[in-house]
Amino acid sequence: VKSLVAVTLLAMLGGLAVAVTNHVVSTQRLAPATGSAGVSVAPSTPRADSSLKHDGLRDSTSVKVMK
Amino acid sequence: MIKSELKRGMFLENPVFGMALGLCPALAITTTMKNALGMGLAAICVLAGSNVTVSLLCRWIPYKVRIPCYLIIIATYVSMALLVMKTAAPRLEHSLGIFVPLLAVNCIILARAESFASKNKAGPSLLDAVSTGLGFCLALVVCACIRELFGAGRLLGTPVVPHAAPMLALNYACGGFFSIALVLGIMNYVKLTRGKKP
Repeated sequence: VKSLVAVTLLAMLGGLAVAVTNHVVSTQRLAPATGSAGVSVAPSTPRADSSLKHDGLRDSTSVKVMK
Repeated sequence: MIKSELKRGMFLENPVFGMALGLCPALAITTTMKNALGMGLAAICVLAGSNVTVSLLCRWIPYKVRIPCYLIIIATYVSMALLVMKTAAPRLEHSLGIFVPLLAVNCIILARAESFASKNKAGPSLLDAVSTGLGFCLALVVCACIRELFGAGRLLGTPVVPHAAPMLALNYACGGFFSIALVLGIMNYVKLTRGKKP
């Protein structure tokens, strides 16, 4: 029983230490991604794709008008 | 005392070249100096933390379950080092791959916990960990220096010999064996010329 208690206590302490490190590290990792107001920056890929499509449509329309 | 302990851990009883321990990472990750330095630093941190913790807790750890307890302590420090490395140096962590988690079963760390830290106080255990870790780091850096310089003509990523033809074999797995054999041969020759047993 003594051995079991020792191993269990050590495993719990180890888990706690890793959890604390993970918390500290994850807050450090998130810090540069947020802006000055604390709002995280959204990925820009979908917006870039949609703007490209929009520009293409506008270009084709303007060509038609020119004709 | 500190000087003699550092000399013992780094040169006289070097874990890689003196006791032939920890050869797996020494063969696998010594392709570049950056990898070797990162691995060496991680090993020093894990060794120091685990040695001090084992020396502090050894009186409460039952003798029958001492090895699982040491493994739990070492695995805790390895997990912490891995998390810190993922944040601070994600490229290094990616290039080291599985070999950082494998520090949890590294025979050098377990051997120092079992043979030294469990029988000594925290201060000497820390000194032993630092000297052994520095010896491991030195061995990795020497092997990586040979492989990177002759295999790619670079040192720490900067071209040193740009026009020389590189020995490409040193970049592959066999290059690790060649470099370790070369350094071991030189060390044994030096020991023989000084009248000591290799």
